[in-house]
Amino acid sequence: MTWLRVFSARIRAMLNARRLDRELEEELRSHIEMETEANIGRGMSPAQARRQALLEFGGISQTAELYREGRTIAWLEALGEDVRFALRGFARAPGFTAVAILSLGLGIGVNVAIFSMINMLLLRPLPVPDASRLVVLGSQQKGGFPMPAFAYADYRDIREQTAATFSGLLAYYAGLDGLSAEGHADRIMTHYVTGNYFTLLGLQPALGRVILPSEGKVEGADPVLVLGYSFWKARFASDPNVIGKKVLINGHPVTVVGVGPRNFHGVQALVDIQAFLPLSLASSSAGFPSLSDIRSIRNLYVMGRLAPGVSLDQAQSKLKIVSQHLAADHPNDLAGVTITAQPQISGKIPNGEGLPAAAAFFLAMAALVLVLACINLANLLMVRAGARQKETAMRAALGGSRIRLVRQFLTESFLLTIFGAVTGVFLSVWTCSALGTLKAQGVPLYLDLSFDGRVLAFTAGASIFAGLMLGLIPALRGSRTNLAVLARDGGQRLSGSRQRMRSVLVMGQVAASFVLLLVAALLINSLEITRRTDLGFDPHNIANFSMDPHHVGYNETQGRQFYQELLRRVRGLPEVESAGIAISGPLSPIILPMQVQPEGYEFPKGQSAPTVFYDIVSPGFFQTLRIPLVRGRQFRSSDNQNAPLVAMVNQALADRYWPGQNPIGKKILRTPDPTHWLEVVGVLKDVRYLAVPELRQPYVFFPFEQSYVPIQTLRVRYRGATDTAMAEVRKEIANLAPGLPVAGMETMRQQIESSAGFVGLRLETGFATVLGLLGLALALLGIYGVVSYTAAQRTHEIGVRLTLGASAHDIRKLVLGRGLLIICIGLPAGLLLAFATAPILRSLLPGVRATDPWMLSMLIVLLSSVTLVACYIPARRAMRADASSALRNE
Amino acid sequence: MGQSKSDVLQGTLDLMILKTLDTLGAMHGWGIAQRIRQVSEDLLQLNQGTLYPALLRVEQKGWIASEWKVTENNRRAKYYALTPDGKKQLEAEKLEWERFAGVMARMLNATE
Repeated sequence: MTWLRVFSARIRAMLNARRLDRELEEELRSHIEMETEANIGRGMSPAQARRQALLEFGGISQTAELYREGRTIAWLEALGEDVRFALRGFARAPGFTAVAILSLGLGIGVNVAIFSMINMLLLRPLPVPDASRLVVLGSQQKGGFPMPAFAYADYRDIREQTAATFSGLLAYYAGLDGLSAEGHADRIMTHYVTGNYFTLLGLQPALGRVILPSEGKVEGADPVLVLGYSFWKARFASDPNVIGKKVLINGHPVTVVGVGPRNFHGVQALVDIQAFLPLSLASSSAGFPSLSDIRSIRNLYVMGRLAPGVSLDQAQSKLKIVSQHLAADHPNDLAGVTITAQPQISGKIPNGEGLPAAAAFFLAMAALVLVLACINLANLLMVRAGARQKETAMRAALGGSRIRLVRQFLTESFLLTIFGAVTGVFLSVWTCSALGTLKAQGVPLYLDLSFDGRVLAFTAGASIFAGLMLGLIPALRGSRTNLAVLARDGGQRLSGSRQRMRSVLVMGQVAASFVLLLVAALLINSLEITRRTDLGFDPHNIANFSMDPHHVGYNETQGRQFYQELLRRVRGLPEVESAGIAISGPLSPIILPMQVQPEGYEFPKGQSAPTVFYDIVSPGFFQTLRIPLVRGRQFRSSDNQNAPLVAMVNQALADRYWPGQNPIGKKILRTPDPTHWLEVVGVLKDVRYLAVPELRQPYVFFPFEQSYVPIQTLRVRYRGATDTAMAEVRKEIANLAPGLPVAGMETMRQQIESSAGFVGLRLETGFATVLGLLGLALALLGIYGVVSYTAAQRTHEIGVRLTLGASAHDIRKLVLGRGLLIICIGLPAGLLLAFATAPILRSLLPGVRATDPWMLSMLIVLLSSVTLVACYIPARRAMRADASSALRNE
Repeated sequence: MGQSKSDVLQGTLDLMILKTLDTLGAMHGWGIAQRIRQVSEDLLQLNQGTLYPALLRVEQKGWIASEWKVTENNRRAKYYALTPDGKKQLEAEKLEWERFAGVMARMLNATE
């Protein structure tokens, strides 16, 4: 370990170089003095004694030099010199340095931000031990939708039949509940879990205990609750005494027994689960017995851990066999259904199949921006290298080796990169925190965009790539200097080949920025088209209020009374034109599928009853949203518990199951309730219910009074100012049910903007716009740099031309010529690239529409005009030059 | 006198320093130079300057430690002293050197 000791001694010495130099000087001086004294003692004269002493010593400065060499680490010292030299250079050119660092920072920052997003969505596993062995179960109905959820009876059967395949299967119901504690109620997101949830995941509580495998097996038993860590921190101020406390969930008392682990937010992506309860308590939230044998209500999500030695493929084949068994036993519910498993990491975003490709596309765009930034910087560095040709030649002449010179350039570019990377990281952290405020579907998105090893490695990789790219080109060119440059005084003139190379690079930039801009324009256009889509209802002047009176302990009778009274009072407000309630409503986050049996409809052999979507609405709901009635009648207040059961359907349902027939008077059966047929009394026009770009989906509607469900969203059509109307309605709710938490208070427009399809499109558009504008800015910077530099380099030539009688017009042509060349070659190249890219984009992002010629011409005009401006400014400067000063400049 | 000044082997000088400090205790550079001159009875005449890079080298290896002190003549000087590691190193190098010297002696005295 001696070398390590020497190394650290030398490092310490380098840090204290100045003090050690002083000490050495003193040490050597005292040596000479002692020797002199001794010599005097031997009888020499003082002068002779000193001379003899110096002679004996053998060269003070030589010794000091040898000593210093032994004290330091040569390469490190050289590096220090390079760094100091580079920093001095940066300080001398603050404009260059700022542009360089900022453009690199933007380039790296946008990459890191996009990668953080991808990391969160696609790469980061659940924070549980051995997460790679976790799988998410789902099922696929033949000729129907993929169904992510299972009925409890299905879960129980699958678990029993796959005991050798999985170490365990867990199930959970995702609820939205009212939690009352210390006098006020909150609406929280919950998981009702099977008892093995925490143990199967391998999680330890931060405090207290988790839910135990023995719990949650008997309906209504085990009234316990485990708080989510961040909710515990926010709602209970991290109070450890919360353990043992009684709180109310939807009015039912439960005991807090523990707090979940610190980094665990539930097994679903993008949301933070605030409390975990045993599945046996879910009936208070789900509104039906959660451990029941009814197979048609599927609302449990199932995850499993592969048993040791079992592969995903083996699990898949086992599940296929289990599906066949189940279908044979329960043909009405499960015929034609195949159960599937996929790794947790790829199954964590619902409907996320297209995500990896879209992610790769955006990452490629971001990489392109970084390349543009690097090209710009390489260009700027080459300009500097050109301006420093004399310096370089001088250093070469004085014996600086080529390696040493290249190293100097590399040091500069790496320093720039480090500064750029730091700036980029700050920019991306800022972007990520802005993204963190995103809401989707009325729920705050939980976006954990924190830095982890992967993001760090990516940042380092991107920075090293940038550093190498922008260091090597100018370094290799800059150091290839011959001494002839020194002899020629006009050392700063660039050679023709380098000039050409820079122009080619800039043409590439124009082409690339054209593509980036086109992608942005396409997405902006798609977003606009989506926004202008005719939704089939009138979303203006509608305000939403979501609530569940069970959250404050109301029973069914009280709940019915509450809603009746609420509607009566709200309709009486002067600000309110009309009002109605529904569980879900168009473009709402709540999607309600149900298997139904339409009268007279024979579903294909080997398939279970068809799944349609349903909603439960009050009279006045469709009028409030202005959804037109096509046939029959609306729901009336007389459609209550004592009246015959009725339903309304949309045109899509009527056309699918009763084509060419009059649907009014037809009967329809809800499979959970096989005893009561409902009579269709009205047909509604199709509206966009699930998502904006949707196919026509079959929908059935039930009247609120005949199918009471406590969770409802009140929608009012208001007059006048939004804020006043919302405040008035909110006041009425508070008067009627003090302390009732109201969520999703927003206008219908806001709700649509945060609906599933919109959030993704908005995010994509945002990223693409930023990338496009960055690309444009970088390309402009590049053009401006090249043209103004060319103009400056040709000052002498311009002077000569002016002297010889050239007009300002001629000079302008001379300087603008290069800019025009860049446009003439760069734009068509960009157009070609764009035509190559557009189909890829359309296949990746389903929301994107076709390129239209109008948009392309707009982009061409935009790019050419800004390019011309970037050329014109330096050209004007060149024109203003008068002949004498231009010549004197030499 | 046959020895030229630059011919002193590096390792030899390091060993001399260690031995000197072992004998004298803490000592400054000039004192060490004096001692080497005395012991070698002026047979070995080294450039006193070369002593200092050697002292640095040995100190970096952790075999000696230095400290500023005042001499009996009231002059500030840097005193060097053997560390426990240095003591061990001295023993090891001494053995090595004696073995080497023995081998050389046998080589040179061997008669065909």
